[in-house]
Amino acid sequence: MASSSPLSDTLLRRLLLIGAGVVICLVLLPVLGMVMSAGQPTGLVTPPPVSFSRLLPLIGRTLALALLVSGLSLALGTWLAWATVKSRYLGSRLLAQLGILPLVIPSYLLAAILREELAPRGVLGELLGTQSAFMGFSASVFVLTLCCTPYVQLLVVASLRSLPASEDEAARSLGAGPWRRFTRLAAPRLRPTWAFSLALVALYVVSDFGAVAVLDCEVLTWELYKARGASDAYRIGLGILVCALPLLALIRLLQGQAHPDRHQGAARAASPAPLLRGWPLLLAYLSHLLMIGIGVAIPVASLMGWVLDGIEHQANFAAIGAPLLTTLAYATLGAALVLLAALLPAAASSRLPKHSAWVEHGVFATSSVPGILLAFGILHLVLYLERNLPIAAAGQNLWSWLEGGSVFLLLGYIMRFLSQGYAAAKPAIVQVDTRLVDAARSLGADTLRRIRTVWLPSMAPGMLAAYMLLFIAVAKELPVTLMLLPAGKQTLAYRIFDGQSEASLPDVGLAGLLLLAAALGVQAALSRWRRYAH
Amino acid sequence: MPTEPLSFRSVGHSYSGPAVFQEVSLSVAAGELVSILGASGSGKSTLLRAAAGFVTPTQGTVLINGAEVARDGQEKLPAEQRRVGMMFQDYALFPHLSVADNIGFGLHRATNATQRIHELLELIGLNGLGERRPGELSGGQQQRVALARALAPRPSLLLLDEPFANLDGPLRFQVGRQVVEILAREGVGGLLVTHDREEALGLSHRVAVLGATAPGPSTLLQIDAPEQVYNSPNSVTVAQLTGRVSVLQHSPQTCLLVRPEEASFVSADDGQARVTARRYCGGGWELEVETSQGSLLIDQGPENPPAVGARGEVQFQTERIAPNQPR
Repeated sequence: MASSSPLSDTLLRRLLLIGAGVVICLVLLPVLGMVMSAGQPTGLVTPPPVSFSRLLPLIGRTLALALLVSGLSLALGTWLAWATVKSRYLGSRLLAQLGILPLVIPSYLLAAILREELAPRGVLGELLGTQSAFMGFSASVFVLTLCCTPYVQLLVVASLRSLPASEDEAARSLGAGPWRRFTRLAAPRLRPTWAFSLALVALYVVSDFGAVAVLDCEVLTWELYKARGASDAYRIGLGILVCALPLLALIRLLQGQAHPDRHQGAARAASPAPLLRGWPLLLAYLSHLLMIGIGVAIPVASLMGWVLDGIEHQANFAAIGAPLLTTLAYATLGAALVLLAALLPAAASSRLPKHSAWVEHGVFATSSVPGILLAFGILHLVLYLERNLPIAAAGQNLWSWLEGGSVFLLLGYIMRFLSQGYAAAKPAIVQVDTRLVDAARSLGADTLRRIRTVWLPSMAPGMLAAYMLLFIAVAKELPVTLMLLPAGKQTLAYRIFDGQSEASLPDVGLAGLLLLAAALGVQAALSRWRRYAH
Repeated sequence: MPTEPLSFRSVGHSYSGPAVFQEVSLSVAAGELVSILGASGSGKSTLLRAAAGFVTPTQGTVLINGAEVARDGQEKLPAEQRRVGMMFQDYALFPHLSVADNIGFGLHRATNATQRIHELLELIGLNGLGERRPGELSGGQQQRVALARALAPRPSLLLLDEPFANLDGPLRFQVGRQVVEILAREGVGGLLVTHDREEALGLSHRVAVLGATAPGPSTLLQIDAPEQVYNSPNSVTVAQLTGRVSVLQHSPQTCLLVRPEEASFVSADDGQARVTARRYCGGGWELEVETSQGSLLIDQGPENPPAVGARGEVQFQTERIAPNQPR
């Protein structure tokens, strides 16, 4: 006889829906904070007023940056994807894998390194004979293109691989050379992927804070940070929303179309691709050199050089100990909270198909608010609450106490990485074999026992992988950390941002190497794990 | 003397390991359809792709219209310059192009492309459907579009990689016959890869059997007219690949190959043979009979089939002897 269920399925469904709704409603908090900030000077800094005449050029410059980076990343990413998927040359596989490594380097770190190395007195600057500092708009275009190209490359590679190999062979048998196969066969099929990539990269650029801050590029996110104390800073926030929301809508619209049809690709294994020769081969190697040399090798070499320089000059590396511990603590806790929060909408969306659409849209909307805007909104909400709704707790204002206890920072992490957690948690839930659940049910297991004995063990590997990725994401996070970290504390990302502005390069080197080592370690572990699992 | 559209000379290939096949020599004449029959993994598709230029064979020479296109692992002419038509198992039609654009894909520099497209649409009986997308056509129609596309640049050779595998029985032979007729009309040589022996025997002028009589790489075991390959297989493997056959012990060195339709069972209480199983196959019965030389299949008429366990004698209409093969 089945045991009586302390938690009925209906109740569980309701709880899931309510939980998912609450999590998604978090999106309203920064908006609320932005509204609260209107006309409320914070006294944090004394910034210049934000007039509309200043705002319009800022929006124009932000959009121009997004457009340029998207276009360049699209061209470079597509070329690299085409070269590595549709042709063969010495080392192409290895180079393709190394070429996506810039993904693990945060944009602020890459910007800081290239700013130093390409300065007139930097190693590369002296080599190239540069006359001016590597700063501003064009430097940001360069750095962000390096950061975004691997995203485009991965998407285009997936799309190209989804095209049946026999189509390409048919075209070759009909006399079509590489250019004609690209323009007539691949290009028309890549359009949805290109559109999706353009929107994705544009949103990344509009939301980016790290590179533009380090390179002092006057765009919306950096200006919002500088003007965060002004009573009319919300106008810049609105400007960011004006730029980001259409891109977000476009991404959601294109997401389904851009995903390649895997069944087509599985039709037949591809025959060996033709050998790349002549100038296309030279161009391919040059592109790899740019991506791997400037995007990976130089940054790693620079960081190591700065650390060695610090050792030589007896720099006090012990100062990195505290940021390292803080980073570990926040990343450990933050990743767990994000994953827990993501579980509710992920479970609601996968187990309750009727509600799947709104849950998914809500999750992505929550996480698509640019980090700096999210942090700005939460910061102003806290300031408003401290001033206008003071509640005494533990001998001080409750809101200040919560702020000091990092509650708002962790809330910011949850909002920032909710969609990442959701994207990782949902497959873990979907892949649970429902026949096992039915078997447990037929053996009398109630809802809680089924969760404990079937759901959780089945989901554990996927959730662990998701946790590791979130851990790295939180550890590298900059804008939310900069704005909401309790006073007196620093994370590694914070230390890098501070260190580069103070030209404290040994610190930046060590902190950067620690972050990179952690990111690469997690990626390598996951990659080995996936290979083992398959 | 006209040159042959395709010629393999001592061709062999290995994919970074043991050879898949070796010493394959065969040629295809203009207007002739040659089928390659072989078990899975025998390398028949690889051989076809070597002709197309998608694989460069590690040994031997491939000639197209008398010109060397590959020799001993060296590609002399890339696939896109060989002007060889190819039909794929999944048709490989370009889904984003119309039927007419698909057919005209190989004609982009031709002056009379539009006329040729119309000609081919008429040839395959799809007039008026030129603006449709491949997805809007039936399987048989798609198949014919794939044929028209391959024939559009007037290749002298057409390679067919199991192109009828996705079609149902009656349609399969109907489309197959059309392809053979069109090849003959256009004077195009064809090389068909198939694992379906009925297709190979029923459609082609010659059948090439690729396989191995002992563990190791495949070789070309026999190439002959279909009836010759079926009736006079030179090995057990060829007999098995070309139809149902029973292998009975004949002598320590040889065996007897018996097709089910070439033997009959006559009931007799003191007979040496015994029916161990029977199966109704529509037009008659298939009997499994145990004899002192081994077990064999017999096609028996529809009336008065012997019961399982019945004893009798087996009468052979032909005696076909082949060397024993290691199992």
